[in-house]
Amino acid sequence: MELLGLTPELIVLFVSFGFMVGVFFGFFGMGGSFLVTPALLILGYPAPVAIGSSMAFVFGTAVIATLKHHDVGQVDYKLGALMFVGIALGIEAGSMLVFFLEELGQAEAVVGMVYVLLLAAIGLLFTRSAIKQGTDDDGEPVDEDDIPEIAKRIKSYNIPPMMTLTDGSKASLWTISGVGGGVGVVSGFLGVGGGFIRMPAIYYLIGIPLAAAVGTSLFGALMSGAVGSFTYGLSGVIDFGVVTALLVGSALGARIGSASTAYVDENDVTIYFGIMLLLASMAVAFGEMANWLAIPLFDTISFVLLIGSSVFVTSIILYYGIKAVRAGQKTTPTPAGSDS
Amino acid sequence: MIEIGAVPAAVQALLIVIAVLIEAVILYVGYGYLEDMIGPRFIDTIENL
Repeated sequence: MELLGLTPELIVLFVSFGFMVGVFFGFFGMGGSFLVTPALLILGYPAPVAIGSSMAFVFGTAVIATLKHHDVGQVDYKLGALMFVGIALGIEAGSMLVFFLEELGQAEAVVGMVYVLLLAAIGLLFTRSAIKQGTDDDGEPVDEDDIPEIAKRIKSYNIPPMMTLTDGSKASLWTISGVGGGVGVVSGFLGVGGGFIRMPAIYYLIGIPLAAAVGTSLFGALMSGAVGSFTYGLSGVIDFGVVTALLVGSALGARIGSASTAYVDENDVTIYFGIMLLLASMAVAFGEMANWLAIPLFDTISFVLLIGSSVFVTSIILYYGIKAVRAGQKTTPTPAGSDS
Repeated sequence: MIEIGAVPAAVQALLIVIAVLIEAVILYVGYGYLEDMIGPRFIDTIENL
């Protein structure tokens, strides 16, 4: 018996995986999408299907997160709208690259390799930041209305046309389009929301205060997801059953992850998240080696690494959460699920 | 994969986007209702374990 083209086993797998991805997204505000494409690649889905379905998942997750942030989030809708053209063109370019590589029979290999590097880099950043946090607790709080020096310098170059943003500051349309286009290419090529680069790009390159940068980046994820879903949908490569099962799990997981931020100190679990990303990078590498060397055991190792590390980190978050609830502890809640 | 039939590719792509949008809204509202209903009781249960 199949439902939405999926066997009951696959439905359970995708709902459970979606739940874990949702917990990460709700708790850390990221991690929603860059685990989905590798998981689908490891399960043997062709690269365009994995990326297209992941983009549709990003869209659904971003819609849920936007609804959640509707009242509390600060979003510069004008900037988001100005970035739209760049994002759309970038996604189109990224997807064209995927289909070109697919024609050459290299899409899985290239996308897989990029993921190995990307997950390893982000995993290292998280692990390093967690270790640094543990040894250096005298960090000064960041003023959310301040913008970094590099953004001030970029803003000082008045390359017309200059656009006035919602906060009254000005930014060159070239910078805005460049950021939108660059993130769009990454989104379209990897099937990710791109929040992990868009948010810093909006903050450092366009110079939007941190709080508004998070919200605006989220709005960008929504647009990336919508445009990406449409672009890949044109080629009929989105597996709606996979997207539905993932969303059913992730929408619930995101609520639990988000609620956990009120009880669990993020610094306690960040290192596990970093290690999980490093293991996910190894998982994709094993998956690639399984294809090249035709060793089925590597496929099993790859699958166990990805699912096992996700289960482990989800359990850690839930364990700390339950422990804190029982002890009656509460931390300062943060608006989670901020970006994908 | 689900075959929507012989509709043009653009319509098919738009239907996918709309379907995911509706799905996301339903899930948000549905789980929100569930959270309001059983969330406090669930927290109480954990506290009293």
